[in-house]
Amino acid sequence: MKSNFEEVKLMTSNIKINKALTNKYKDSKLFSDKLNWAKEHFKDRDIFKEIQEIELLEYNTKE
Amino acid sequence: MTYTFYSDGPKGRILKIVLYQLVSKDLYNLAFGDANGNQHEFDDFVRSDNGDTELVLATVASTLYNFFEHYNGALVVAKGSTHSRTRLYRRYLNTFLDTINKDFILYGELEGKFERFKKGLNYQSFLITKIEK
Repeated sequence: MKSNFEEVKLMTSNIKINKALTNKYKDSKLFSDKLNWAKEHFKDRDIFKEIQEIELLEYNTKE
Repeated sequence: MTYTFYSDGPKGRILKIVLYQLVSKDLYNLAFGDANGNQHEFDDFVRSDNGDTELVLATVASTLYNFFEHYNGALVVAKGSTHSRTRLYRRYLNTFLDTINKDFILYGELEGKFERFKKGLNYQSFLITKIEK
């Protein structure tokens, strides 16, 4: 495995925001499978409230 | 939001795609993989073995900086499409946790319950948000 910082920097500079591709890939099976998993996983669940509670606990533990 | 970059290695040049999918208000799913030949599908089941796995994961992680510039206060969820993929992400997150913790808060999910990410636990999915500075 490579972990050279310069390489990461090079590859990072290679990143492009490609809005056109969103439409191209949004109908792909994997794309929709992943989205469906996430929708199902967080259905009927207030994840922001859960996170808030974790942070409150974290804060109280540190106090 | 969609990002693309190339992995260059022994197997040639592979187009990598990183997608942030809106799940519900301020919650996004991070999906990424290789573009296949016809350019209308992408596949993260295929491990491209282009000799740069860590580099590819670091680059995917770096898209988070740009994403959160646009979606401040959002939460991003990530999960591998297979157990071995999730294990790979977990290993990567374990290795770079100190670096990640400088800018982000990372959570791991165990048996349906999220907690602050701790090294060495077998989390099934991950949530990340940017620290507001």
